[in-house]
Amino acid sequence: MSNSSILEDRELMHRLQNGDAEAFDELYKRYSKPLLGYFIRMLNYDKPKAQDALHDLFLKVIEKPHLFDTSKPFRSWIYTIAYNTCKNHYKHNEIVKEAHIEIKHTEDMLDEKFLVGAAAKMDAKDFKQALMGVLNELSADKKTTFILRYQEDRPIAEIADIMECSEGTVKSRIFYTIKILSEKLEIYNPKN
Amino acid sequence: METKNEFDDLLKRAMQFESGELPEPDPSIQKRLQKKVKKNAINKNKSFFSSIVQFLNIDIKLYHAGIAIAATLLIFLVLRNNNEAPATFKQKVIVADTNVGSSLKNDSFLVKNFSVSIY
Repeated sequence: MSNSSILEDRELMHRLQNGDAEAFDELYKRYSKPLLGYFIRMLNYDKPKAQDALHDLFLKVIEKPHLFDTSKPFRSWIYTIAYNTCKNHYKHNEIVKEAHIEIKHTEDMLDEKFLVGAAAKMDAKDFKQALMGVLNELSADKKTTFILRYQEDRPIAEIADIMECSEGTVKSRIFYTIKILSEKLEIYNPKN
Repeated sequence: METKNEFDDLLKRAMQFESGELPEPDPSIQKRLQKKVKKNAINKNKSFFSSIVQFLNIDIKLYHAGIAIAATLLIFLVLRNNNEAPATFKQKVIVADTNVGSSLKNDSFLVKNFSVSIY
């Protein structure tokens, strides 16, 4: 076991600021895979784009380590950067969406068809696919809140820290997302 | 409440990646980033030395030379005066001592004292 593996994130970040390559390797080992998972879900399963986002994120960490907010835990800070990266991506996509409204409308109709057709099967795989379909329709804020809570299993306080909002806002985002999901995924309820 | 927890669990399970679903981060990314870290470290050292070189590489103007000569002269004069001062003082003390010995007033005082001791 190397010396870096027992150090805390903050200490590793401090070493990285002084150009320690081993500290970088350790931080990358700890966070690259969960962050890739976050990007894959946030960027609608576009894996090459998720890999690019991961590269850009760590590049920011390397090139601007002085921006590390020491009042925050490293995990919250790095997820805040990841969240902001996705938010920019969503903003850009909004512009693209406006130019392709007709195509989007056709896709919506296909999604509905898929959900109704898959209702008969009701297995976990179908439910998962349908869930992802609904998540992809959500805003970046709601989607991030949901992913951090249900995929990354982060506490409400930490999500609020990452998204730089109040705990109440996080709770209300989760509430509305679950409301939307229960409505859209009602067909998967075994009681129906 | 139970339904809510069940729904929460269902969502958590559905959100987990299945084996093979989540790819490994591209190894070339780590390599590229490692190079960047090393390059940054070298540049950091370089910038330290270049700042010293920059500091030493000043354009010398005529007035810089003038100020330097004037300052050297001033320092030389101050040091010379400081070295001379104690010597002059010693000389004055020696002269004073000699004067004390040959002073008429003091001689008579010594004689007086001498005579007092005879009585």
